[in-house]
Amino acid sequence: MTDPRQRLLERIGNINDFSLPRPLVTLEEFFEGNDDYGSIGYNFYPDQPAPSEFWQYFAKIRDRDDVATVLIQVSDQEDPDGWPSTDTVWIVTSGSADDVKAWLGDRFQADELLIGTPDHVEQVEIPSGYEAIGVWYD
Amino acid sequence: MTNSRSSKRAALAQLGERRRNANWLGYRNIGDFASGAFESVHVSPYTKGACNVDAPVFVLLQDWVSEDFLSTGDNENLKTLGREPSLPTNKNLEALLQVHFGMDVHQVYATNLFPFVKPAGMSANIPAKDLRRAAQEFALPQIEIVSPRLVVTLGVKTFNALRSVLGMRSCRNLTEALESSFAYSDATVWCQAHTGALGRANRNRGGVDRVSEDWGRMADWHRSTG
Repeated sequence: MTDPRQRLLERIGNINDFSLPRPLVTLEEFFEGNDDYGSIGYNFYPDQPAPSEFWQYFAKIRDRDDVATVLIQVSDQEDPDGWPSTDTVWIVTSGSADDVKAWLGDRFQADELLIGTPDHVEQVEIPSGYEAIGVWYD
Repeated sequence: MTNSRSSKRAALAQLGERRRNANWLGYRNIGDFASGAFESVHVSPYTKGACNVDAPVFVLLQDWVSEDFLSTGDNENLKTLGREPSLPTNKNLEALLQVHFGMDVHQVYATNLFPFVKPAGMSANIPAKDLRRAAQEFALPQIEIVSPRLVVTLGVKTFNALRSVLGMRSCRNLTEALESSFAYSDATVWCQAHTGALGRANRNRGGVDRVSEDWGRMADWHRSTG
């Protein structure tokens, strides 16, 4: 069985080559085996959620009828021994940005919500009537 | 080491000129917008309103503004002060400096680690390699020239960019960064939370103003070592 970190590294390729689009990976690809607090929400303080809490929370959002998928935008990997990191989680939904804000609550509130994936991010198929809303953590 | 105010200003102006002449792939320079209306002699326009070159306190924010923000129209405050005082980041920073150091923003030296304009949205991620390059070429030289006693960096990525260039291990998160101050030149470099609205909300959970506590601890250190 493939080590989850190795599987993720193979999936994202040379993540520190910034001429390549930033990969969008599934919650499972990003979070399985991940207990690195430097990989997501690193500016949360004092009670930063564990990666497993982020996983659980966004998996619940993904289960909603008005959400097609939730994907993690992998940003870079500063520490070669650490986990690749993210600052943006994309929710593909027929809901509005206000809906997403409400789903996140206080605990997982974004620093900013982004509408539509920019050019430097891997493009995914968006179902008709849906849009990609980015949850950005500074 | 430069010492006099005039020699510091001359050295900083040279750095500012270097930034104005730079052309970093994927980013635009400040003079590219509004016919140069936001341009300044400084590395970052933020310094326009926070340019005490003899200040004991040096504040290092991550980056200035995005293309989108500059294209939303004229902003007189950005042109004159180099910052929009109504933004939560700036309001909170002003309050923290006043409460804990008795200083207004114009009494400190403040700048941005990344002095170019990032594309597509205020929140566009700036790769760590570009932050490190900016730390090497612009931030560390400014610290050497101003020679403050205290450098306050806002946010983990800003702090880690300095650490990385200086050969230190990156901090995994803010909790670790808060305990990982280090010495550089004549200064001690501290990390603090972003002063934006969410940073405070996270830290103030449970009714405890953790931002204020952390700044208080840093200010106590500053006074005790003065």
